[in-house]
Amino acid sequence: MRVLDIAKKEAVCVYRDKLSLFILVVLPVVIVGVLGNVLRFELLDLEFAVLDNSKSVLSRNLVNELDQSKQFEFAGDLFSLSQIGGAFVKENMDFVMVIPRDLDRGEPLQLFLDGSDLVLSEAVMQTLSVMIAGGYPFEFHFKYNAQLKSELVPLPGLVMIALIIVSSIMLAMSVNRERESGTAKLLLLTPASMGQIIAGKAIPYLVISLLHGLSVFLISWFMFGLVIDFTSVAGFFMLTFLFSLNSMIFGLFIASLVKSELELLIGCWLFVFVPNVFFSGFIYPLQSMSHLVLPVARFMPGSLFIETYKGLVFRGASWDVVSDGFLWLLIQGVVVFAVTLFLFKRNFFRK
Amino acid sequence: MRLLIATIYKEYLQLVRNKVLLFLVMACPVILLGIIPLSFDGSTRFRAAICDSEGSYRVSELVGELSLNPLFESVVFIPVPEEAEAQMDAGRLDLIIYSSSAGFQIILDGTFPRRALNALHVTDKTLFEKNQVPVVFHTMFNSGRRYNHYSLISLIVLVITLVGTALITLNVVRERESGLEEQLRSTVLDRFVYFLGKFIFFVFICLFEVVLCLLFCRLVYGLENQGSFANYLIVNVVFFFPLLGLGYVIAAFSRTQLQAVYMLTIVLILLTMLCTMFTHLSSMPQWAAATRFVNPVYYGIESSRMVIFKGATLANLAPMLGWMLCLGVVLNAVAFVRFRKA
Repeated sequence: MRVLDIAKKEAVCVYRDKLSLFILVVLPVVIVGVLGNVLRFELLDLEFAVLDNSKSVLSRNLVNELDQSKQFEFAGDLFSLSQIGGAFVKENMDFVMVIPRDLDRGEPLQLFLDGSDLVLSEAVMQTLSVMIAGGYPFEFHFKYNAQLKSELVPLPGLVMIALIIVSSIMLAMSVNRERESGTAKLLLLTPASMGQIIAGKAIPYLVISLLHGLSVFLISWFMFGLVIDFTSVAGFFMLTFLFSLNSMIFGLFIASLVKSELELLIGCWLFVFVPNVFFSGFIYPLQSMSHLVLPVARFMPGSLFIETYKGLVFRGASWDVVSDGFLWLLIQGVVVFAVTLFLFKRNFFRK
Repeated sequence: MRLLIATIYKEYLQLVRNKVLLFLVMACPVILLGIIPLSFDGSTRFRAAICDSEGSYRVSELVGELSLNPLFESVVFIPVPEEAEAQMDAGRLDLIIYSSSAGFQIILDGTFPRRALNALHVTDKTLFEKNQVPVVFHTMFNSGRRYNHYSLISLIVLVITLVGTALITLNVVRERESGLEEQLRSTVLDRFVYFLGKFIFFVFICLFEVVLCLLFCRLVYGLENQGSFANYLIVNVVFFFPLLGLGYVIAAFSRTQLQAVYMLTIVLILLTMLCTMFTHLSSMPQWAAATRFVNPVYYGIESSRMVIFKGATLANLAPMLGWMLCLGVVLNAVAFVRFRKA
């Protein structure tokens, strides 16, 4: 009952700060809805220049073929090798193709790529070598994401980001505010215990997190056409709930170590947000990480979330495959919460 | 002039006497630049399985060829296709190569398309190189194709963006919340001088950050600057103009630190995800690519890459620098008007 009273008080606090409420509600929608459309990895209308030494029908055909594809666009001829550097720096070309004099006798094509944008040049390299060779000499297909729909791919990572920002910062900020403004002293005078106060404060934010889960789910459904079957939906909401709880606890843990709001913000960004973005397999796959950090990266809440999400939603994996993720999130949450409560009891009013 | 110097000195003292802020300024870049590159240091390591129901002689040859390639972490032979697929379901395999008398068939895990396409490309190169039309690829400007050098440039910009905007926004909002600004209003200090003093001070802090970051990258990762150092500094000073302006705008429109934090978070995430740090313009939908015109982070990253990798001169950079200045003027003007009224 006491927990509910505190929850009610906290809900009123959240409701009355209109700007924060607006941002809280809109944030996941913006992150998932906008960025889901941005983080694609397809090529479109890349400009290239050609230095044609052979000037034959064969070479013109090759250039035309590339020009007519939707990925590439012919942007002009070069006349000497010395112009190549300038084509990149001044004309902003994406790549330069040098056609040898004896193309038909099997002299190699030379392709110059721009290493200052490696992601782009890697994609160019792969696409070009397939186009010029006329396809792969074998059959292939992709499992789980058969059309290689790139808009679905960043989805788990974006959902993770949206949840972690809101959850880790929200509750920790609110606890810290009470502490800084002195109202925490008043709260502790009430019959509620420290655990009850924190649990009460957490309830409204957990409700907000579940709303975020719902909005994210609706966006992936209507905007990206992601179809999830019923058992996975239940799993998704359970995962959202557990992950938000876990992030809140990590946020609280940071709050138990710092004093001011600025410190808390920096702590949450540097030690919760940034590691979970970079080491969770969202931007770089886990397999390309250094062996030094790999053991830690595997157990980051972020990577547990992404792996479990992919398993549940993309692969339709069974419970025994994904239960590890749930279990680890729970264990981490319980352990960190115990430490946090201990620290709070010792130095809640430390100055 | 004397007042301006006094304002700058006040900011300096505030920073030096606050241990946490000092930590943020000195250690944050080093921590971020030291830790984050660990997340992409190794080249991508693929885990392949080879399936051959007919038990032909080619299998051992294939396993040998693939495992010679350092890009493959493990190459195993699994005779039963169902078992290989179960391994892939559990996320332990990136690709399965079925070999039969009819030819090859490759199945890839599509949940990370860039990785899948890369695996396809590498497998093709390793196993079927000889049948292809000869093409030689040259990479200019970062000829070793070193991913950490490529990412470090954008990380430096990320660090400056985080630290710069967070410092200035929270500095302004905190002075307002604690009532300090109210007191300063009753002194001879002009609003413009106050605004300018802060601005100049934070430009110096950010410059310090840039030099620290570049030095760290040079010493630890061996990042070479192809352009001139002076050009890099000029590019960055121009970049701070819209960046700090953005911080001011957020500060001017938020009443409490909490609101400032939320606004800062949402704006920074949008800006960093919409720039070319993790993706490239030609793969974005057009409306998203068009947001680059109002995104200072995009110009910060592109111009840094131009200088450090391509050795661009100021003449090459002029359009970008000009646009950044325009953005800066608009943002700072908006912030100042709002700031004076508040």
